[in-house]
Amino acid sequence: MRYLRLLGVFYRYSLLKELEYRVNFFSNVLMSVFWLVWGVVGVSIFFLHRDKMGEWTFPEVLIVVGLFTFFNGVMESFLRPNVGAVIEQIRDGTFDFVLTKPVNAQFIASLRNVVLWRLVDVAIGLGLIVYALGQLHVTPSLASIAFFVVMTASAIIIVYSIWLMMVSLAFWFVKIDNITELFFAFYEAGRYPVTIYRGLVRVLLTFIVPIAFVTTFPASALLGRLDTTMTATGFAFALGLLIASNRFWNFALRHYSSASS
Amino acid sequence: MLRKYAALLRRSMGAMFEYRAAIFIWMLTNVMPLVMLAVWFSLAEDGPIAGYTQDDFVAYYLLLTVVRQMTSVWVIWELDYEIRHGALAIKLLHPIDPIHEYIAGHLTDKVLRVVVLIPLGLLAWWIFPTIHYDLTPLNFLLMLIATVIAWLIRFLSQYCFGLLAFWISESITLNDVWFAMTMMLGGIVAPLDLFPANVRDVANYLPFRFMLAFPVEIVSGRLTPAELVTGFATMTFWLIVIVIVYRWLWRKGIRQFSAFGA
Repeated sequence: MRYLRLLGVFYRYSLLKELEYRVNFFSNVLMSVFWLVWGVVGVSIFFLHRDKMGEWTFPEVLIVVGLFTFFNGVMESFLRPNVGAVIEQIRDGTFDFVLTKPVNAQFIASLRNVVLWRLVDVAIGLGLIVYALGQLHVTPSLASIAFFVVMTASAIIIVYSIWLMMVSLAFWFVKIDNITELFFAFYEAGRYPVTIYRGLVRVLLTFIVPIAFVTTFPASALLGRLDTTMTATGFAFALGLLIASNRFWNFALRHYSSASS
Repeated sequence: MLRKYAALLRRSMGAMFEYRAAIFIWMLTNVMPLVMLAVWFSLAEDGPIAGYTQDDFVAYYLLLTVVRQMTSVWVIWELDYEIRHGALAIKLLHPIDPIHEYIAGHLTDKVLRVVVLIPLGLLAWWIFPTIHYDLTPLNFLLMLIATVIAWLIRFLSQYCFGLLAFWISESITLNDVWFAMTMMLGGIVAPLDLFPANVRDVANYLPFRFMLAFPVEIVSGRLTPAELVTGFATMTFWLIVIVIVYRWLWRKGIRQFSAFGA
C-alpha cells in the first residue's frame, strides 16, 4: 500500500518533468512512427523474394514487428530510465542516496521513473498487431488472448531480469557502462520470428539471450500456436529468471563499496 | 602536423586502454550485419536469391561486418555534449582545430579493433572455407581506399549533424534518421542487388552506399569496370560535398558559439 502511494508520487513527478519539455513530444512521436515504418519496410524486402519467412507469412511477421516495437517502448519507458540509470549512479556515487532511503533499493532502482512519451511505441506496436490480425482475418480466441497476456507478462519479467543482472555487474566493473547497449544489439534479432534462425543461433536466442520469449512466443500465442503446457513453461522460466536476478542483485549489493568515499 | 598527431594519438591511446572492456562491448554491439546474414542464409536454403547463394551471403556479410567495424563513428555524442555544456570552448583555445582530436580518438579505436578482428577473420575463414572474394592486388588496394573514404564520409556527415547542436536540440535524432537510412540503403538490411530495380538505381547514387556497401562490392566480382569507375566518381563527389558542408557549418557555428559565450 505504501509502495503504491510512492509510485503515485513518483509518476506524478515524472509527468511534471516531461510536461516541461513537451515541445519534444511531437518530434518524438514522429520518430516512433519512422522506426515502425522502417521495420515494416525492412521485413518486406524478404517477402520480395520469398513468400514465407521461417514458416511465417507477411502479416504474421508483422505481429512480431509489432511486439518488437511494443517491448522497445517498455524498455525505453521503464527499464532505461531506472535499472539502466543505476550504472551511471554507481559511477558518480549518487547510488548511495538510493541505498539510504527507507524503502527497498530494488524497488526504487526499478520503478522510480517513467518516460511517458515512449509509451507511444507501446501504443503503435499494439496498433500494428491489431492491423496484422485484421489482414489475417483472425479473431483470437479467449484462450489465445489469455496465453498472449501471460506470455507478454513473462516477456516483461524476462527482459527486466536480464537488465537487472547486466546492471548488477556494474557493482564490480564500473567501466562497462555500455552493457545495456549490448542487449539492444541482440534485441535486433527479435524483429523476426525465431524460426528463421538455424542451429546454434536459434539455441542462443531461445535460452542464452532469450529474445524468442520476448517477440516470437507472444506472437505464437496470439496466432493460437501455444498450448497450456508451453505457456506455463514460459511463465515458469520467467519466474525462475526473476528469482535468479534478485539473488544476483542482492549478492552484488553486498559487494558494493561506494564510489564516493 | 604529424608531431601534433603523434601527441594526440599517444594521449587517446592511454584513454583507450583504460576503457578496453567498454570498447570490446561496443564492437559486439555491431551485430546487425550478422543478424541479417543469419536471416538471408536460411532464406537462401531453397536456392539463390537474386543470384546470391548462401556462400555469397556469408562472403558479403562477413566483409561488411569488417567494413562496419573499421568505419564506426561516434563523434556526434562527444560533439553534441561538448557544444551543449560549453566544453568545446576549452578545445577552441588549443592551437589545433578540435576535429583533429576527435579524429585521433577514432584512429586509436581502429587500431584496437584491427587487433581483435584479425584472429576473428581467420576463424571465420576456417569455418567457411568455401567463401570467395575477387581479391586481385588492385581490387584489394581499391577496397582499402574505398574503406578510408567511406569512413571519412561517415565521420564528416556525423560531424555535420553534431555541429547542428549549435542551433537545434534534435541533432542526435536527425543523425538517427541518417543512420537508419544508412542501414537500409547502405547494404546492411540487404545487399543492394536485392532491392527492386528502381530503388537500386536511386540508391546507387545516394551517399549511403558509399559509407558501407561499396568497399565490399569492389571485391565481390559483381561490378563491371564501368560501374567501378562510376562508383568511385560518385563517392568522390559525395566526399567533396560533405567537406564543403562541414566547412560551412563549422564557420557559421563557431561564430554563433562565440556570440553565445560572450
